[in-house]
Amino acid sequence: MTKFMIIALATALSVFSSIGAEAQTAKKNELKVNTIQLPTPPKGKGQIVFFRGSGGGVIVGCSVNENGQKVSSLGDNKYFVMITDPGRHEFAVKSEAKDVLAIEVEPDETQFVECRIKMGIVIGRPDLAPATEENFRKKRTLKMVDAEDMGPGLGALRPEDVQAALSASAISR
Amino acid sequence: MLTLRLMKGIPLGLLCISVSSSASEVDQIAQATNVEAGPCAAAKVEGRLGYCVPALTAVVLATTSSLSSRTSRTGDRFGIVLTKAVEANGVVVLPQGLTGEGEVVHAKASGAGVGGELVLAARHLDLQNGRVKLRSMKILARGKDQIDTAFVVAAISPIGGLLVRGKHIDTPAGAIAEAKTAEEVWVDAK
Repeated sequence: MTKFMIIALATALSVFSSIGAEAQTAKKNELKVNTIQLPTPPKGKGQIVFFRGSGGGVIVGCSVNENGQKVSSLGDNKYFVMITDPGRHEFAVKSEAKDVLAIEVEPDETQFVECRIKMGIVIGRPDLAPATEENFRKKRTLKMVDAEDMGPGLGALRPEDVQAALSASAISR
Repeated sequence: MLTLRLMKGIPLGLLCISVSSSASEVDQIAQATNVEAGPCAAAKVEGRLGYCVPALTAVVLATTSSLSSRTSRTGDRFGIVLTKAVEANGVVVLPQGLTGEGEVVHAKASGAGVGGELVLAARHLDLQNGRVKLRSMKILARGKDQIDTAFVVAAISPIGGLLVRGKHIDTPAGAIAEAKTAEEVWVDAK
């Protein structure tokens, strides 16, 4: 009888501990991605999400330009959303050297671009690279760029524009 | 070459037999059916037998040549092939094996710590009497970064950090990609 109780107790303990471990793993996985809500682009327009994770040259700026005009600065651990016309777009960042990324914006779709800081001779160099939503979601602590760091043009959506776009897409659903 | 298998019981929505052909009628039909006037509406008005492949139809493609951030250049063209037939109600409208073309939108070799980059786009599939324009191809490749390693090496030796290269990205021939048709296409029945 005592043997039976010990076996039953051990089994119950192992079941509870495995449930606990599973719950912990699920919680960990949940925290591994950000849950930033992204608006859907207006009909016929395309959308690009630019982001930059933390580390690798915190003091180095990553100012995204298109056709010589600033779209927005992208500080450490920041992101911004840009609405634009479909077609080929070339974005540039510049420090010691210039880096250009060409992407093709598709209507009604969202694309992702990451700014990374690579090694430079004197200072780190910003580098734009094509990315995926998965790359974006893995940056857990991203915050939107402050409005004053955005360019003077219509490029990057201001925080209030993003909020309005999110409300509009919630209504249309 | 495009071949179409005609089968019994093809829905009337796919096979159209009305006969008349003015632009205003195309617009009227388009309005009545709540679709934009396009090649399908025009074909229906003309009474042609065939099939409409709607815009944004998913297609599965494969590249026919290898591409690499080491050797590819922005603007290069490459071959694509349709690997899975597109069917409408059991009828093959775009057969497997259709060939077409894609374009390297952006290519950059790997650099100090950062991986190579390749942005590829599918442009079109060739039909006997025209093209199926494509969009939204999903092969977007980026080589593995070595940024952290480069910064660590740089902390020991500044020049050494510049020598740490990211990985190139290589897309072999036969790499599978998904894309969508960019606009509706009318495929005549034979």
